[in-house]
Amino acid sequence: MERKLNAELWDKMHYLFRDFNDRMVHVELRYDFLIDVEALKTVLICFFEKAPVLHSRFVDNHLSTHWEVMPYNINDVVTVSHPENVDEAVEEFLTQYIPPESHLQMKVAVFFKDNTTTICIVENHMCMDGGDLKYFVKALCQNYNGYVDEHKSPIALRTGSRSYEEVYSSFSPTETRMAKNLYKNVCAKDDHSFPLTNNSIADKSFIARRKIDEDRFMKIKAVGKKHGATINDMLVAAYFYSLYELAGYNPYDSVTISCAIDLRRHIKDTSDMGITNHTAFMQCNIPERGHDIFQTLNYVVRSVNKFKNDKFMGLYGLPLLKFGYSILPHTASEEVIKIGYSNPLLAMSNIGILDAKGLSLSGHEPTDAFMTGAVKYKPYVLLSATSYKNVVTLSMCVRGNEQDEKIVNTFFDLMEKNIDVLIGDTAE
Amino acid sequence: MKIFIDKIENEFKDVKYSEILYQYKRRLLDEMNDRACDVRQAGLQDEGVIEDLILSEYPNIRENYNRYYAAEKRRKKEALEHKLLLIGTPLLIILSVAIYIIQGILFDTWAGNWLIIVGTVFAMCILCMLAGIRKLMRLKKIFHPIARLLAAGCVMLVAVFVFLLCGVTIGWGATWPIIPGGVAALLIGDLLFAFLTHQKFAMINTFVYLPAIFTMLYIILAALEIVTWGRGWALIFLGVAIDAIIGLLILLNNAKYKYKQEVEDVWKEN
Repeated sequence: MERKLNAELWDKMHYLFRDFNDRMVHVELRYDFLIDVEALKTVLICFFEKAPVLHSRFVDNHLSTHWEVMPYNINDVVTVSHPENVDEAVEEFLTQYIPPESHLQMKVAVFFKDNTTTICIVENHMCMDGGDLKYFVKALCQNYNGYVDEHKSPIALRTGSRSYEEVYSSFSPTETRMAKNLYKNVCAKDDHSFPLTNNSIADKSFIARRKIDEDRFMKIKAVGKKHGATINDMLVAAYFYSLYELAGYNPYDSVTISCAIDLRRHIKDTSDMGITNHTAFMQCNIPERGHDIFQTLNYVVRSVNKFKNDKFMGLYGLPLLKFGYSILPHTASEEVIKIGYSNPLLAMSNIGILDAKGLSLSGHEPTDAFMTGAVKYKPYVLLSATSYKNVVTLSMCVRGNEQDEKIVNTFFDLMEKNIDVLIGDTAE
Repeated sequence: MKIFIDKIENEFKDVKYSEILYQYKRRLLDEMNDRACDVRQAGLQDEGVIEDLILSEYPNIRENYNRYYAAEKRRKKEALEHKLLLIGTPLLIILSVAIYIIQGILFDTWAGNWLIIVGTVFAMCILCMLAGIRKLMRLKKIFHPIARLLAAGCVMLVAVFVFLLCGVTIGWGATWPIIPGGVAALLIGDLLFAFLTHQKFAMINTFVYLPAIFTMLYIILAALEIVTWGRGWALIFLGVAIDAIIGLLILLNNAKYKYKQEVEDVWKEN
């Protein structure tokens, strides 16, 4: 019998983003031993059954949308190979695109080389965001361990509602009503963009990365504390300052970067929720560059604190989107929402800490772990940050050419330089 | 699979055998076996994991059974009602025709007796429509407007019957105020239906219906000479005023839920 799942608000929103990015979320985990692929496949089948959206195709019949659960075989999900060059294989795998009409919304690759294993996961953002993918990967590792070590059935994955309305579940009735009345268009309207080359049909997706070592990470933390700033604020400040330098914006121009915020902060108990999207954006705005990066940091802290003081941080615009999708057939709703929606040209997503213990397999912690957001289409960019064992990985996924890759790497050079200035390693 | 059978039997060991219970257990077992086939096709080979996985998908078997039992009971009751309606409607109509003829022959009075037939037909129509409303209200919200139309139809039939009854008993000249009365009853009925079933835009219906209801009230009261035609129109304004008061109260109530944004200036800066 045909099984259908609701297309939730965020599923539809990410579907709408098809003009701006490829909607794929990427994970890479490296281990210094050979994992049991059959055990991994067993865990993945259980997880796919627990979260059927992962083996569903997205149906858009113009009037409405839904997910249709499809039959699958785990061998279509998991690819196992022994490549000569693992890095190349990883890059090739991670930059693939899974269309929403595909019967599978997640693909996994296991690369063996010598005595090491690299696990890569690519997943459609319409199914879940970075926050839940982080949980998914951690649960995958824990269930794998339970299955391999104790032969426990790997079925411990959260199931439940995927609705955006879960963000209201911990509010009192009055607060819920208040939050549901927040009809506001919260789109960024800033024309400052990342200085990439023009679009070309020869462009292909790439993931540029840069690591900030442990020593500098600890200093960022310490200096941030002194300035009343979080690590995220420090990174955003460096992002702003580097952008002014790279793109040559007028130092007196006001610039806005959209920063992803995890709406799960509003939910006290997520144990009965299904894997889904709960991410919104806040507009971090600075009035000017400032005479040095410390002033930029002050502007960032001031801007971010305004949001942090807001009880309903990130919930603005949800009722409006819900209304937009409820009143008209899907295609018409999309057109109406597109009128009011302006995709941010500059964005940042701090995915956060990847827990080494939580990601260990058979007692082996990953030698490296990394996660990043979708490949953005020019001129849009998203800077992702993850930290693993106190090493921050900055990454930017772009569909571009070699020149763009050089520009992104120059940007990372500037980021590093400005971070050094911030932490006082070099004078500006 | 034996483990599925054991699990199901264990869940219902204290429940007395019934046809519904057997059907439910059979259906549940078939579902579980189908799911096991699906996951085997997906590539899962560990039978222990398959069993645990499938069983984990059915955490509330007893609760689901209680729901299934209630739904089955309701379905059977409704099926019986439908059968009775199907057989009873023509029988009752034939009976009403027979009563009409017998009474006419016995008492030699034919005038007005046709109301027996009309009343029976209307009553059967109302019963059929009520069954339809009940069914439609269990479907998606998109079908609810049809239920509302049927409910309005029921009110209209009652109003028409009252009109006919009054026409026959007290004369047709004085009965016309029943027509606006019927319209008012129809609107009131629809409003009640909208609020009781939590329909969307019920408040907008109130704003539209209230002046119309008061207009009908004005016509009825003026026809009955309770208010004069010249001054009674103030009733229409009363309807509008009540609308305004309700609107104001809603605004005041909503103001309590308005959240004072602390980030307003940030949006403005953008």
